[in-house]
Amino acid sequence: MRKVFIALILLISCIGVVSANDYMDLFKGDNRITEKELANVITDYMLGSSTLSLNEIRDASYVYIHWNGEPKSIVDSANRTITIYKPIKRIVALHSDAVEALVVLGAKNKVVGVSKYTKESKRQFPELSKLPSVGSCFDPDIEAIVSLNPDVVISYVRWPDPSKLEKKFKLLGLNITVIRFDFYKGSTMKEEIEKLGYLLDKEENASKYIKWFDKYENLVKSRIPEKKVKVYTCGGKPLRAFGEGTGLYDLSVMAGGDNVLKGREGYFDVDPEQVIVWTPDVILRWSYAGGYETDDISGMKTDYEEIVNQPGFENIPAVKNGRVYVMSADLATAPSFPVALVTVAKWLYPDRYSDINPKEIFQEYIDNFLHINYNVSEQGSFVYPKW
Amino acid sequence: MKNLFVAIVIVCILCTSTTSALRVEIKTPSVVFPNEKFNISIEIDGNLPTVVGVALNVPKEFTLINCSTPYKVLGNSVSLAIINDTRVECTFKAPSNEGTFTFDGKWVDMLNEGEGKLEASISVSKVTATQITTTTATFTTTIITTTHPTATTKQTPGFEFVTAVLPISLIALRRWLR
Repeated sequence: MRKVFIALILLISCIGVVSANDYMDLFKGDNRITEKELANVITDYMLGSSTLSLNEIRDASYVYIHWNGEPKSIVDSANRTITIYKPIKRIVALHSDAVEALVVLGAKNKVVGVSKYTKESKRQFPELSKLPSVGSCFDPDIEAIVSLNPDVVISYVRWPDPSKLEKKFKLLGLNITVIRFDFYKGSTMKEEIEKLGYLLDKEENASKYIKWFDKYENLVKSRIPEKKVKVYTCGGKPLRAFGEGTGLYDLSVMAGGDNVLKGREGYFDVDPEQVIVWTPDVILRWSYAGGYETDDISGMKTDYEEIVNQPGFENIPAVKNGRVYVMSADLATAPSFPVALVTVAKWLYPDRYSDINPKEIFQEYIDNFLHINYNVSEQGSFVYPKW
Repeated sequence: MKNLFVAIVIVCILCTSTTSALRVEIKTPSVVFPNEKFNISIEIDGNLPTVVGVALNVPKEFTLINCSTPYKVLGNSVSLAIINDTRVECTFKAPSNEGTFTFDGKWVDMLNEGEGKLEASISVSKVTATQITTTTATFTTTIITTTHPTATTKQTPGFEFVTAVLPISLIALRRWLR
């Protein structure tokens, strides 16, 4: 009995503070860093006997102070639980919408690598476009990503396929967290901004953006009439439909449109006869042309003309009544979404928005969230016909 | 008849600071009696929250009794973890022999990039001291009479190297020897 008691005492004395040989050891047991554990690694470090680096101890101190010692967890838009145990300092953004979201959140200083498309966005991202390229969201350059030593890679939910990203990291034995957030859909934008803001300790900036988003979302909601106009959404080409789950579909529905593609998911080709049968009142086309980087409207005009000149489309109400609109991807499917929302809502119900100038809202977004010297009245080409 | 003049030099301050917004000071009594228990304090001037690590080299003649914050001892070094605290104290026992000793070390701001050095001298003497301190900033002289004047090591952020020095105290005592 006495031996058992002594063994028990010895066991309890060992439980007190277990030395951390590795940063993750700090979370063993109760999944949090306690004051005792932090004090233990600090005193070891100051005596030169710690196996943790100063940076790791600084991370542990940050987590103890700012996160109550606990890791942070979210569920990303690919429905995977993402847990981070130390502050995110280095981010590779595989798509420009993520870059824009990081700018909105005031976290651009954490970005260390961008896609080859972001590198071309010198007006929109004057500083970040100078960062190293890591390929594209469709074909990421794993070697380039690894060389940047990121804590986190942000990619779209659909692209790239996990076999091109997560599985390669796993094969290489790399502990790089991949977070899949789209930042191009109105239906998930606020949630994604809120979650990324939480992970990056940028909750205040996230709230500011969400408040701004809510303002225009509520404005549009309040002006949606009972009788909705029928909308057909497409991109790439006139017969490439953008159905449920796409950013443009979300945009049309949130703006108060009755999308003729309801019940059909994703991107798919349709017959011209089908579009004629749907008799849409409005056609919205998403376009790669235009955007922040060019003042030339001709690309979007070509996209517009492709629709109105489509054989048989002349009898569609949208074409007949001059209600075909083209919107640049830079505006339609990005964190600037509320601007696109008001713009489309005004296209759908012009009588209800005579008091609203979407261009002013766009300038407000650029000034307050992108913080770039850019005059939307003089630069760029975002919609056709022109604002 | 022999006259014995004892000169005590008090307070040497060496401060360096990097980018931290913190100021960390070590405060010791400048004179203690032999075998006396006394406190050394580390004071942090900065906005909470703070996490600071401290390493102090303790003269081997001194004995550490306890600290008010988590600490570890390795040889003659003591390390402290100061978490969300602006002042901690360590209790030491002075040696039986007289002399002037130096406590030196460093501090590291664990939440930011800052770090700096700490240094303070302490005299062990059987006599009551009259300390003369000089304020280097204004070059005025103040005379303080005390048995345990406090020496303060100040740190001035923004300066790569700051040396503040140095008051000199003279205490004269006459002792009769046979």
